[in-house]
Amino acid sequence: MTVNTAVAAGRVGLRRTVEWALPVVALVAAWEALARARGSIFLPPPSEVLQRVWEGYLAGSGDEGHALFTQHLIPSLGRMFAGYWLAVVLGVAGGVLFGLSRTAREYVQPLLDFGRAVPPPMLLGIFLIVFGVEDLPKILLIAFGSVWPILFNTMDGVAGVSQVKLDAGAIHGSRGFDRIRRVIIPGASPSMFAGFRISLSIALILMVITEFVAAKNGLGYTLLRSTRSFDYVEMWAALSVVAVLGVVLNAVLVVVERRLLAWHARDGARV
Amino acid sequence: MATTTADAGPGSRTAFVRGAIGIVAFVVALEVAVRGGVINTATLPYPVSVLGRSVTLLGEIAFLEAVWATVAAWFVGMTIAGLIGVGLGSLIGLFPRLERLLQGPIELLRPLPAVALAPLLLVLFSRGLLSRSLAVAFAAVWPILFNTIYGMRSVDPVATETARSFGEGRWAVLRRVSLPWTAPFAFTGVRVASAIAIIVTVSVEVLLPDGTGLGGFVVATGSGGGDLATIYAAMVVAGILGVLLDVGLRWIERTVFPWREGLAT
Repeated sequence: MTVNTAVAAGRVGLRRTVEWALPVVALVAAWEALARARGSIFLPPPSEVLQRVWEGYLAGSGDEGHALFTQHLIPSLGRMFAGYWLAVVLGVAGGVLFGLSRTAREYVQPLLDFGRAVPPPMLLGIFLIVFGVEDLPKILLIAFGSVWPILFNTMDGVAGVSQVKLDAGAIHGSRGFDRIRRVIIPGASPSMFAGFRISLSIALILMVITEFVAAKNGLGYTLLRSTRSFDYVEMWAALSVVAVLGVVLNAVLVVVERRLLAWHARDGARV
Repeated sequence: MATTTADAGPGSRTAFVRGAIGIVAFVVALEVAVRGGVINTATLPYPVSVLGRSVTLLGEIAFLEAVWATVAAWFVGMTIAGLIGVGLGSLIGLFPRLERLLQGPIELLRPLPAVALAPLLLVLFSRGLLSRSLAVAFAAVWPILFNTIYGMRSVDPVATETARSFGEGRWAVLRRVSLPWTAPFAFTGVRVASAIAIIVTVSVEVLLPDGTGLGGFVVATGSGGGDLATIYAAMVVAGILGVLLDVGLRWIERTVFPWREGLAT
C-alpha cells in the first residue's frame, strides 16, 4: 500500500467514524437537554449516568474503588464465558457429528428443533432446584441457551462442505480425524462463526437474566436491585455497561473472525 | 453429495420416521434412566407422567389462559416489530443517507438485551401487556429490519429503471417493484424474529412478576409447592408452541412466496 492510498484510507476511516458517531452524540445531547429540562427520576441525564459508570466501573474512588467492577462485572463475565465455552465445545462437537451423518441428523432433528424452541428462562427454576443456587445453574443455563445457534450453524456448515473440497482432501491423504480438522472444520468455519456471534449475544442476555434470580452479585443483580431501590442512575449505568459489553464482545469476535478467516474473503468461492 | 432416492430431502418420509424414532427413543431412554435410578426423581419426574401432565394441562382453563396471554403478547410485539422493521427498513433502502445517519444508534441499541430492558419498561409503562410486548418488539425488530434493508438493496436496478421509463413515479416504483421484491426477504426476517420473540415473551413473563402467560404460570407453580411434573409439562408445551409457530410460518412462506425457494435465507 502506498503512502497516498494509506492516507486516503485513513481519511475514509475518519469520515466513517465521524458519520457513525455524530448521530449518537446528537441523540445523547438531546436526551441530556430533555432530562435536564424535564427532570424525570426515571430518565436521568446521561452525564450523571456516565459519571456513575466512571466511578463505579472504571475509576474507583475511596473504599468503593472498583467495587462494581470487581464485585459484579468480573463474576458476570466469568459465568458468561464459562457457559459460552461449554456451548462452543458441545455445539461444535455435536454439529460436526450430526453434520457428517445425514442419518444421525434425521434421527435428532425434531429433538433439536424442540430444544431450541424451549425458552431458557423457563428452565431457570428447575436448574436452581437441581443444580443448587451457586454459579453452576447459571453457567449451565447460559450454555443451554447459547448452544443452539452454534450447533445448527456448525451442522449446516459441515453438511455443506463441497464434495470438491472433500475429494481434494482425500487426494492429499487426509482421512478420519485429520480430515475433520483440516478439511471439514475450515470449510464449515464461516457458518460456524455466524453461529458464534449469535450465541455470544444470547449468552450475554442469559448472563443478565440468570442474575435476576437467586444471585448475590453480577450486572443483572445490580440492575434489578437498583430498580427496586429506585436508584435509576445506577440502573441506567448497569444497562449502559451491558450495551457497551455487547458492542465490545461482538467487535472482538469480528476481529478474531477476520484474522482466522482471512483466506475465506480471498477465496471467494462458496464453501 | 451422493443421495439415494430413499433420503431425497429434509421433508421426506424417511426423515419423518427417523425423527419420530429419535423422539420416542429419547423419551424411553429418559424413562429408563429415571426408573433405573440414574436420574433422581427429585430432578426429573417420570417423563411419561410429564407428557401425560402436558396433555391434561391443555384441559385446564388457567393454563389455556396463560398460553393465550403468551400468544397475545407475542402477537402484539411481533406486530409492532413488523411495522417498525418493514417501515424503517424500506425508508433506509430508499434513502441511503438515512442509513448512515442511523447506523451508529442502531449498532449501539441492537446488542442491548431486550430482557435486560424489562425493569426499565416496567418503570416507564407499568405492568401489563404493553410492557411485555415492547420488550418483545425490541428483540424482534432487528432481523425484520436487516432483512428488509437487504431485500431493498437487492432489488434489480433494471426493474426499477424499467418501471421509471414507463413513467411510474417514485412511490409507484416502491409499491409495485421494490416492495413486492422485498416482501419475501422481510418475511424471512419475520420468521426468524418470531422464534426470538416467543422466547423473549416467556422470558419477560418469568422476570416481570405479573403472573401472566406461560412464564408466570411456571413461576407460580414453582413457588406454590413446586410441582416439577407440571413445570416440565408447561416447558414441553412452550417448546411445542415454538416449533408449531416456526412450522406454520415456514408453510406460509412456501405458500405465499413459492418463487422464494432457493434464495438465501
